[in-house]
Amino acid sequence: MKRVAAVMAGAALCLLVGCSAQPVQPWQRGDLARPEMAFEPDPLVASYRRHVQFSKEAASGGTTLGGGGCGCN
Amino acid sequence: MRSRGAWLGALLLPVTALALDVGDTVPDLAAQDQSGHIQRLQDGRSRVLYVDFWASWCAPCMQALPALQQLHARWRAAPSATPFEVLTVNVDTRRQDARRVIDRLGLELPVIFDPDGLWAERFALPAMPSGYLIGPDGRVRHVQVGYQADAFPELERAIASLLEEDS
Repeated sequence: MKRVAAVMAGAALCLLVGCSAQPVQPWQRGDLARPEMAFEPDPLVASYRRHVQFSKEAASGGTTLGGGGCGCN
Repeated sequence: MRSRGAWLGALLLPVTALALDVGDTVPDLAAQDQSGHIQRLQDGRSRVLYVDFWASWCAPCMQALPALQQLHARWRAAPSATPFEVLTVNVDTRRQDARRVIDRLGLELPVIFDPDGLWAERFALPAMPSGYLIGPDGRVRHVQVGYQADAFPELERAIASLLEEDS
């Protein structure tokens, strides 16, 4: 039992060390700077989505309401 | 028990703690530049070398490269027995990104492509851009982290002192 606990503790420690020892290095940040790495790669689509969300959010509520408008205006 | 502690300490040590600093000997690295010439850090020649790491996605690097080109032009013509050379290392993972910058800036300095970050890892760069002034003895004499235009006079003083020291 003691042995299992020691192995588990060792494995947990290794996992923690893995997180701490592998930060993104300064020369590796180019991959993060690529457009395809962005949450919203297309600014036009992102702006459209935000507009629809904003339009619907004010009119939504619970399960009895039908929802908001189309977000056209 | 003590050796276990040492191993754990080594694993937890950040890469930046191993960064090349003033007084350290540069690693013996060699690679082909964009013109096909072999560039070697420890080639046995007596020269003052400035190694600059850059990338196309790094905005300060785009400011530093033209300044570095001017610096090279100024010091290349200096009356000294020891030549002053500049070597740039590109860390882009896609070579076409680097080539676009080389064409746009009209970069004439030798460029080594390091897409796997081998050179960058050996130097353990603390930031982008980073520059290392290496003396004729192969030791780092000045480290330039980031780009500030007002930091260049200090670099030039270090170059002048090295060229005088060796002449």
